[in-house]
Amino acid sequence: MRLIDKELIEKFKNQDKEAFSEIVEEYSERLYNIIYKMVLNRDDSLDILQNTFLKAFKAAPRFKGESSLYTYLVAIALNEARERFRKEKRFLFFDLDIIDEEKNIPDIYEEKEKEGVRERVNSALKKLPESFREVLVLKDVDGLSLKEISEIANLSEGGVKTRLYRARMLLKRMLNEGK
Amino acid sequence: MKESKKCLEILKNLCGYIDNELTGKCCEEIEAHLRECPECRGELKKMESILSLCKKSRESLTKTEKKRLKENIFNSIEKE
Repeated sequence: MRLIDKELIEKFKNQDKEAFSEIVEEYSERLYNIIYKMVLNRDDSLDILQNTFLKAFKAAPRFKGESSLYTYLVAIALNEARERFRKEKRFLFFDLDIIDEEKNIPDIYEEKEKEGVRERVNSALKKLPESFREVLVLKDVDGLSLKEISEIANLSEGGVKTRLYRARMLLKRMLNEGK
Repeated sequence: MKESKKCLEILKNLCGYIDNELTGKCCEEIEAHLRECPECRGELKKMESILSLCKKSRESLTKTEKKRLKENIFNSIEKE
């Protein structure tokens, strides 16, 4: 497997199938992880992942390279996930004021077992509003930079920071409640 | 947890501190406070644990799913 380089991206823009296959191979796992954390359902995630790559391939000649190919794919994947939320009316309404209530939280973060961690985190993520979940997944699960997230989410870096802070506080609260 | 004005200020900057986004002076200020304040040290530990949980919660595709994904994608492309 070679790294995603300029030559490969040029081939991608020309809808070269071999190049596209390498791109699918390189990014499918990482994209799946993001999508799953957004929709929290295996079948939906696989479906969205497939649509993401198909849309990217169709739109490849229009890819300008202003962002990295990966952040471009993430943006498509998140749009697909949002669309799915909207179609199925799976909006998550939440009273954001509760995140200011940070009192008497017991120390419960000693759990080390790998098994159960996913379930705990996913269950907490499920209760987060979509926009909060999005920045948290991109930063803390996938490891994108604030700059990359700001491009994907169409927010200033300051806006991403603020949203991320609130998302982390809320996740902390949810993890405590789920214990 | 008793929170002084200073603690609240530190807590607001903890995320930036964890993400290595703060300037040297700001980091030094936070570190000095953390040395003296067990409550804020506790908050830092909790936040680091949460971020560690997030990293460990990674989802993955099975080999079969990955194979099927590629097949489906390229079958769809061929059809169009």
